[in-house]
Amino acid sequence: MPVPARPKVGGSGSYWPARHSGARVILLLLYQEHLVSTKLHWEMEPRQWSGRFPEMPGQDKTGKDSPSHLSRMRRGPGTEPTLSLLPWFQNPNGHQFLTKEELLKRCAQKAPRVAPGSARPWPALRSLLHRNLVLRTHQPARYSLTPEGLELAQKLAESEGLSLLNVGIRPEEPPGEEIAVPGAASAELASEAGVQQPPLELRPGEYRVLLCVDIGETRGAGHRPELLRELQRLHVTHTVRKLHVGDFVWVAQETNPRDPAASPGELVLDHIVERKRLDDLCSSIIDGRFREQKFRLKRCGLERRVYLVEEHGSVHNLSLPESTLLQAVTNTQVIDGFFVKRTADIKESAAYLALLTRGLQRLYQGHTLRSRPWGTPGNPESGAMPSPNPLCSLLTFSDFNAGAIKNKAQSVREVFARQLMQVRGVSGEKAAALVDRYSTPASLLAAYDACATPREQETLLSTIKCGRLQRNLGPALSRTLSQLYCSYSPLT
Amino acid sequence: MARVGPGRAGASRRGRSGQRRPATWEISDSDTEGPAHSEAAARTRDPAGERRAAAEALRLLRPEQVLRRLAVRVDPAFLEDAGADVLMEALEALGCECLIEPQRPARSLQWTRASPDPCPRSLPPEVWTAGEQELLLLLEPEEFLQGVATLTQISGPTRWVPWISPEITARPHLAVIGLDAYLWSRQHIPRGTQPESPQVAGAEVAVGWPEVEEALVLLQLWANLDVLLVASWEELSQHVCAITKALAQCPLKQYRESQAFSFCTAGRWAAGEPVARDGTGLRGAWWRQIRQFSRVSPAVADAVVTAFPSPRLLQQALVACSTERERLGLLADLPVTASEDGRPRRVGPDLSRRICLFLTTVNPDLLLDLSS
Repeated sequence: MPVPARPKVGGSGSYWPARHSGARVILLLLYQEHLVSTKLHWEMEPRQWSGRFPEMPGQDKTGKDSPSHLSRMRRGPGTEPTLSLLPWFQNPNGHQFLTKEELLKRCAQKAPRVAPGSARPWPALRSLLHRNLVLRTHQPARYSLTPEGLELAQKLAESEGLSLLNVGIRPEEPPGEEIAVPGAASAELASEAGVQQPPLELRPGEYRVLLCVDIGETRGAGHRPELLRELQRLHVTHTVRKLHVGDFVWVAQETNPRDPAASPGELVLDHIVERKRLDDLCSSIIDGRFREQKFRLKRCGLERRVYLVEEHGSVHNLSLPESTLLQAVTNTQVIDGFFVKRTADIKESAAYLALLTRGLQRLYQGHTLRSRPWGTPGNPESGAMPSPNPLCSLLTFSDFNAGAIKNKAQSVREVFARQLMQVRGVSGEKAAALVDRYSTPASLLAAYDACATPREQETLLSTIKCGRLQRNLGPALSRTLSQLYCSYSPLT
Repeated sequence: MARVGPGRAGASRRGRSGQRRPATWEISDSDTEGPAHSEAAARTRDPAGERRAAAEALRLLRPEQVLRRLAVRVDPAFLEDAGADVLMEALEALGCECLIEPQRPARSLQWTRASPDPCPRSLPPEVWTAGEQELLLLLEPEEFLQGVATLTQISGPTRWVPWISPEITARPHLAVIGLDAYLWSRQHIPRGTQPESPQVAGAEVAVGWPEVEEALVLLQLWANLDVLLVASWEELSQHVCAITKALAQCPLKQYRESQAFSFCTAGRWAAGEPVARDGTGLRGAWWRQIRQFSRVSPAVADAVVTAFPSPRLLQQALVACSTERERLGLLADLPVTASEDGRPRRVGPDLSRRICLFLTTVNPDLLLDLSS
């Protein structure tokens, strides 16, 4: 039984290796090794062992310098769905440790800048050993994660790689009060790989219902600790995670999984809450996020959508008149079918969430829950009035969150259409017609390049037929677009 | 220049901040158009006729038109309170039909919508669904509190909801005027002198705000029933008018949502500044184009546009790169004005990669955030 080389040096609770640092890379590489060898069972295609990165259209074949993400999901035509997850993974039989050589080799592939030469000392590795996050055993040395190292690596993976999206341009912060659910990371990895997880059934007494708070709700704008403090004060069982849609959901979590090493099974209940302070609401209406967020909420797989509007009654200098806000919120209720809840401040919001949590716990007592595959409706007659019986055919939490990432990802076509609409006069239908003809900016720019004269460029788009009534885009818009896309001098 | 943008009178107010009329009505021709694929065949037979029919169908989608087919039926009991005049006047000002006739349940308001006659066939029939839509039931504070008392005393699996009987097909809402004032006044009457109606005397639970909050959540979970708690008839009438206007916009918004790029903001909020004939204003459009990528703040967009003040200049720089790595990282080190915390920022490799892939790829379905 290996013995830690040194006594514990302080706690590792406040240690958070910076992005792209050697220490982080080492931790993630060892974590990946750990996952593959202990937790996940899937078929491995021999071709994945080639060590090359999956090919990408538009990239040259030797392109390897990718950002440090733990997992990748290939999408688009002609990609292998399973296990393109670990492109640099060489060893099909994971042994839960890596030799220094293996570590160096993978590090060189993943993040060349932080890998030292093989003969040179590696301060990042030494530091991790010193902090008791990594263990060294045997001769020649084998490196693996200690329990603390495993915990930290899970948090790193969760905060960074699994979403595949950067949290934002805010500075990195340590997770603080977060309670990362062990194993959630690996379940989400599996969901992203498209690996079918076995159907999950949770009988009464085998699960508990808890509130899941999006990590974004606990940071920023001074509300960081207050919401969680209130929830704790009200004795609400909750967990904090990164949600890719919505601000609050509820999970039914297995209390005694049969396999203690595996992560507890988790199903997400049919309710989802989006919280908006009035000033947020104003700015999101103005910049268009309001509509887009609602659109994504409608497609997330959860049907009981709640809009929690906060800060009623406090004095505001808002950028929109009250009547506009009232109409926007009422529209959300009547047209989009969301349940609207108005609260005065964050304490009231926390109290509301506490009541909802208790209400849901009570509602689900005695019910058996079953997982359903992504993409299938939970309630076949969703148009009918909601029944008092709670929905028991539920998505797994990992499917739900992974699906939300995919819905959030922007395609070239979509961004191009949105960009075209930034030109005054280009409506959704006109943009649709333009993108139908030139589906990428490269395609449009090439068409302009192929024009013989500036006049030809100006009129290139004027006869594009738009909309139901098949009207021409017109010479004026065509000219404006040519000015935008053909000008080699700075725009004004 | 007249063809640029919508040709409606109202459209000249686009982009101006501040003064707006109940602006959610504004639509332009171009906004209501949809894809014409299915109409292509029909059009070759009678193009002009088909276009006229399509234009007429779109016209009927407009909220002002839908409003004419909307009827609000008001139970006479609703009008017992003098304060109801405010509400009736407001409804009449909207232009919908107001009918006073007994309703079931009593003391309720019901909205119904008729389909246009004749009903255009060129749009999906759901857009025109007639029938009952919404129902607003007005409760006295005391009545409401009795229901709250019953609800909060229910234990076990029964989930019975007062006031709403199963045969109601419209989507119900509850409203209570003056609950806060009522509860406050009850608290301040000394116990012995409080007049108790027979029903309240039987209730053992003192019903206060905590019970109300709990009951509200139960109503939500068990029946998706929302309760409008307002202080006055004025406030109630604002909500009722907002519901009416929302119903009038339903067909149009549902139609739009079925169209391409429905999630995109094409409305006046995002239209931004106009572009002059000489191209002035295009820099702003280019800036807004950069912001269409996820997670791009104004400061980051500034950085990109300052370094590359036109799409062609960026493309030119990309083409000049000798390696893929250089290309994808072209924007990564551009400095960004520091935010509140003062830390120096840059555009970063992720956004740089996304923008560069975006401009160079020939695959329109490429998912920028997920590609390696």
